[in-house]
Amino acid sequence: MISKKSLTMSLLSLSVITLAACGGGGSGGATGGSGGGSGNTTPTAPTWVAGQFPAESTLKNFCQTPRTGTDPFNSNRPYPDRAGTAMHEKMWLRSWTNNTYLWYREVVDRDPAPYSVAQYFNLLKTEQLTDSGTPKDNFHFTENTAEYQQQTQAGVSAGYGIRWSFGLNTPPRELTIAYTEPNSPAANAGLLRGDKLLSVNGVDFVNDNTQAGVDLLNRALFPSATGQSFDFVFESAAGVRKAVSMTSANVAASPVQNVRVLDTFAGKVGYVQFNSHIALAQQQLISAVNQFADANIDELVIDLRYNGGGLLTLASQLGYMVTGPNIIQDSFFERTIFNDKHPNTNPVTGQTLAPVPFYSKVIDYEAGRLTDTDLPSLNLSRVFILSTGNTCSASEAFINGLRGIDVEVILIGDQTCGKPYGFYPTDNCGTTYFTIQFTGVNAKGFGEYADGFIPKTNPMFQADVKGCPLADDFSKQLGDPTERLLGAAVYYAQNDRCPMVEAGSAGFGSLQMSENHARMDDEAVGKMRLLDPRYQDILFNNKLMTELQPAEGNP
Amino acid sequence: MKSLTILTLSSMLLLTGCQSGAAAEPAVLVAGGAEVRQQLNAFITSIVGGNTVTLADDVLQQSPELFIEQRMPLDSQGRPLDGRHQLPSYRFVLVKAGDSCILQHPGSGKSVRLNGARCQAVAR
Repeated sequence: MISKKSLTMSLLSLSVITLAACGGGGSGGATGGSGGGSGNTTPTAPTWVAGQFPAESTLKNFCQTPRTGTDPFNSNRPYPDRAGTAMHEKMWLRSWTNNTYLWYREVVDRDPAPYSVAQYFNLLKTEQLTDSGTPKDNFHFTENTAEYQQQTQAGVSAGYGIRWSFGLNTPPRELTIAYTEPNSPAANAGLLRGDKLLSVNGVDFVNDNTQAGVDLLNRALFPSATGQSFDFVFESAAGVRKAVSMTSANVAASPVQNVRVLDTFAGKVGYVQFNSHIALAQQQLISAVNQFADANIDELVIDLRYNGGGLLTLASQLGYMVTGPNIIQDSFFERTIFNDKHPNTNPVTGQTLAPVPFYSKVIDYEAGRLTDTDLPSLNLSRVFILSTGNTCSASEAFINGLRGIDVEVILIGDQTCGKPYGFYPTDNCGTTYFTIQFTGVNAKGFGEYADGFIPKTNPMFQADVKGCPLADDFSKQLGDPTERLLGAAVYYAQNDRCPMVEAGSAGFGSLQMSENHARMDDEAVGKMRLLDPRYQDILFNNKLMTELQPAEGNP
Repeated sequence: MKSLTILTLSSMLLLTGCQSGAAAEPAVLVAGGAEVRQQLNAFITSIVGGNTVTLADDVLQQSPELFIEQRMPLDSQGRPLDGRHQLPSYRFVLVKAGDSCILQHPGSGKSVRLNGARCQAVAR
């Protein structure tokens, strides 16, 4: 559980505190609203009786501090809050959890009385562990509703247009550029993937351990506003120092980059770097697939190593575009599973549960409707996926959905993050609660990858995926065929096996393919896994499900 | 009272469409400062709700299309907390009609003429 305070107040701190970024999350349970009450008489607090769960609707919106005024995100209608007590809020959380939490049977039914609302919510989850020994539920958090509802241009964030790769967050710290956004301050300054941060305004990023230094680093790396300028020194993968001044800006993301067709011994290999499942990406993916179709590619490599997910239906569309109707036939992308109280009906929307198909049409993501426009498709029965621990959620659903229809997925890189769960963020009294309410399974009924998909040369378990376990390669640019992961995919396409790798080598160009060299087995990969975030951070997830409707006028 | 009336009429015009005899073509902004951004903010929030919307510094300068979505909270590694969602994404399109730059919201049929903006038609 990330503490919201730790994210917003101290993003980077002394050696004992981790480097963090970007805000969000937290279970502080800040109840929103300006207080003042509604003028109604506060009703008597409900009482807890073990094993008895009143209907959540009888407890909802009874708030110890009701919001007043109108909701700008609900046509300026009055907030629904009524005068209540903390016990009302806790009892609502308890009943809501008992009704909709995926593992409600594993929640201990504690008397809420000794706990604050936030403390009690934190207890309303399973305490069981996954097979790997990590907590089964790492995705339990809250956010202030007013903050959660804020709107933004797709993919925009304040900063320099850098996707960072976080390494060590205590001295000696490591922070490396994974990629930059086009037309961003970073790109315009000539910064590239692989550049490591050395200093900011003369403060040693790697080793400084003073509070003043850490505060400055936090301000520079996670600017709270635009227009803030700092002097940075980076070192490239080749050892070249780069001193640049950058001013923070609201930078737009380009979710699809580096679309190219590589001529290889394996034939024509399409490559696309897909960073985020946002609506903006839909047309960009269609353009990429059209380019691949025009080139009549033999193989396809989709680089999802930094794709943390987003729109689930976009993942299903991409699945359609990679394959097509002849491969999909009558199958589906994913089936949603709620707890056993709701085998047939979505308990939040009331809709009858139906599988998510491989959507074959362009989607109007504002109306949530299919249009009449067909998607292109490549008719491929094999696809290479480049992955890291940042390959999450909808990206993993894409992998799982394709495997469900017997498309051969070759996974090149590192273990994915493991987020097969989702939820409907729900407001009560100014706090939006996120609790796992459903999971997804593919057409073969598989969805148990809470520890992620694992590339294996010899898969043994269902979450093992045939492929090559390799560490990310920051010595080369994304899309460079000599970059380790892409190079390995091309090698595999040609030879139907992983390349032999000399542990510690950088880039594919320096990989040794001789059988005489040591093979990069899982153990070696573990030693090279410098930037694996899963061992440094707690992850969060949600997914929302709203069934799409056909285009107006269509059956 | 008179100024109030003018303001009201002006607002109605902004939100009920900007008809022009000239053919509208997709366009990108080439000039427009804080005043234009204020108009963008006012129009977009009238559609999507809220009081402010975060826009890129080069909003509508690279593409005629603008997607507005709920701010995506990120975890400490920069990954979205909402990794599998179905939240709506509002689509706006900038067009040039004659000398006017007009932001359209196809979903509602509403549009606004951006005073003080200059834009350039682009090929689709």
